[in-house]
Amino acid sequence: MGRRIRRREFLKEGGKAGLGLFALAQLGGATLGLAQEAAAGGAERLTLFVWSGLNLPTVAHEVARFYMQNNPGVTIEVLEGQNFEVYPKMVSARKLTPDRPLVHFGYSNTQFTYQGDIDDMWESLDLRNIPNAANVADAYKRPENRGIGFSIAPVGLIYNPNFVREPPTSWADMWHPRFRGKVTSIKYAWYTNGLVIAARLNGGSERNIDPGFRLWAERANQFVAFANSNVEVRDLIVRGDAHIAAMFGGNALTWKEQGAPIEFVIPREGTIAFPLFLVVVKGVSAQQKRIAEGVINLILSERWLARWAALTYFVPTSTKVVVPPSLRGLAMYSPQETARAIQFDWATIARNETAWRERWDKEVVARMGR
Amino acid sequence: MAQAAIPQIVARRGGWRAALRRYAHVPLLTPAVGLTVAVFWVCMAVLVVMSVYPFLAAGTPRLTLAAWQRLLGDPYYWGVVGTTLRLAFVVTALALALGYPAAYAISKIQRPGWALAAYVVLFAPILVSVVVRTYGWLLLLSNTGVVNYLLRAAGLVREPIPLIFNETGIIIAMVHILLPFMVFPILSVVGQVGGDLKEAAMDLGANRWVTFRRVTLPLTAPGVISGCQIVFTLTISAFVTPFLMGGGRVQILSGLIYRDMEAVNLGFASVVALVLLALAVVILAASNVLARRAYRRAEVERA
Repeated sequence: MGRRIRRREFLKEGGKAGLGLFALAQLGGATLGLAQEAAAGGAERLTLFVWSGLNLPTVAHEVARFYMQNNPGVTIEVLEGQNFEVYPKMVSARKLTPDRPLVHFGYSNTQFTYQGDIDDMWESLDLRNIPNAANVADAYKRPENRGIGFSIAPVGLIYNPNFVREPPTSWADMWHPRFRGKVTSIKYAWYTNGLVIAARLNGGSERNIDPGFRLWAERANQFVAFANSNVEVRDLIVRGDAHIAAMFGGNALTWKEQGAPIEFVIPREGTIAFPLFLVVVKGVSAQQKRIAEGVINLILSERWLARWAALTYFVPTSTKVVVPPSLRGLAMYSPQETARAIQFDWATIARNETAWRERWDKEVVARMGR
Repeated sequence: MAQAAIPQIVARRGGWRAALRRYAHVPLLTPAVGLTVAVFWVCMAVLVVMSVYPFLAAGTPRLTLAAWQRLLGDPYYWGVVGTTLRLAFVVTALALALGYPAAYAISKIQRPGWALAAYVVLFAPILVSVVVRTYGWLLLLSNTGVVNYLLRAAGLVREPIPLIFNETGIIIAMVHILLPFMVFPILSVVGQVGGDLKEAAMDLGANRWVTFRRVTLPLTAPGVISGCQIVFTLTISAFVTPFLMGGGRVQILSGLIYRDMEAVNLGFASVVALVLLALAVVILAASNVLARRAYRRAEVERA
């Protein structure tokens, strides 16, 4: 009799625990955090997020390995992916298991860094633990040190020289009739789909975005298609389905190096600055935060930033970094280009993310093909 | 006394055995049902909760029907529902139009080798990832692809025909991807139709068309309805192929879910997911009524 009761209780409690865990996993992949803690066996185990593709994850892997060699009690797992895939899971995990973040720290693009401010996702960094932060230009330090800018990805225009005889020279070429039906972009990437730049060049701004929507509603057929990733944008350009797109200079130069028929130009108005940040996710323990700050300090060191620049073509924010000679001749590395780069109001963009997505679908996408 | 007890024991044993026999399938069913309950119903419950308690990373959510009002009160979203349904119906109809003759023809193949070859040709694409197959279609149908090249080389068109980044591209790729799911259920029924019924119909003066319409088609209707249900439900919820072939231009419900999930607008994404589910359930329920009638009719015809 007693055995029957115990078994029932066991099944009941086990069932509850199983269902609970399952719900967590469904919502945010939070079981990864649980597994990490269980496997750690007392030692610290952290997950470092980094973007996948091209040479973007290389430095993260190298730095993690270097840190672990010098700190035997620490394990750093590098999780590769895209911010747009992982961020919603990070938010879910923060809500469901606040002291067990899915990702402890990592790389974050501008869009999601500011979105994280709204969602209260980021820890304030203790810059005393990150001495290399002193070399970062002030423009790339964040309010309350909720992350720190380590690099800039300048956005310019790419085109396929097999199809375009006269290269684009201005952001306005995105909506010029000569490229009707030949423009592409990631659908809701406000730094490449032309919405914000169109608003700015037509009397508007991030806070007055209507001129941008108005222009693109009239010129919706400039777009041939929208992509879901930078690689898809590249494929559309290479195949000739699209002829021009806004794109990170780093990606464009890497693809060109790999043999893709792609050229990169800086529009006469300048590049769009797309800062890249390192952030620590709220919910980490004090010890984990110190470790994360130690790794961030390494990433910000001259050695690893120079390596990052050489691998990715992205511009470091540190004033001390000496970029490799092969990069010095590139226009986007010149201090003048960096200084005149167009700075978007990312906080306003993040606040309007959901509303702009809906408007983009209703006012622009719905008019394509008409 | 002892003699009276014997029938009772036998009866009890009989009852026990009968009960065992009656519920013998339960252990077999339990893993599948358990998995379905865990994966499907728990997720559905979470979606229902999130649709009225918007998921916020910071702050406490309050009960609101705003997401439901936003979807149901906006004609734009009704248009998206319309596009989703239209695509699903067209893909299902075309898959049926192509799949029925294919299944019929395969059932008529006498030589085992030829039958095997037909199976391989028709079903082998299932072994290849949907993404790979969709990319294949992109390469074939793009402006610089093989199809447009051949059309231009043959002098049939001057400018490339837009075959991708529109509903046409989605339909072509979806029909190709889902055709085996239409053929297989029909094939399993067509093979059971006895030749004697058709012979009897023809002996009674029916021509081939009338025989097909009055005998073969009613008898194979259960397979047709099953195939249509499978293809319809897979199309209505498809994401990868419509997204790649539609180039983000064709707005469908699964695309809305993705859009709002990405923006961590989980309340609205949940509402769209539930509406998608409701549409599938309503249409499947309606087709089930048809299926039941078809089964009954088929039984009568067979009898």
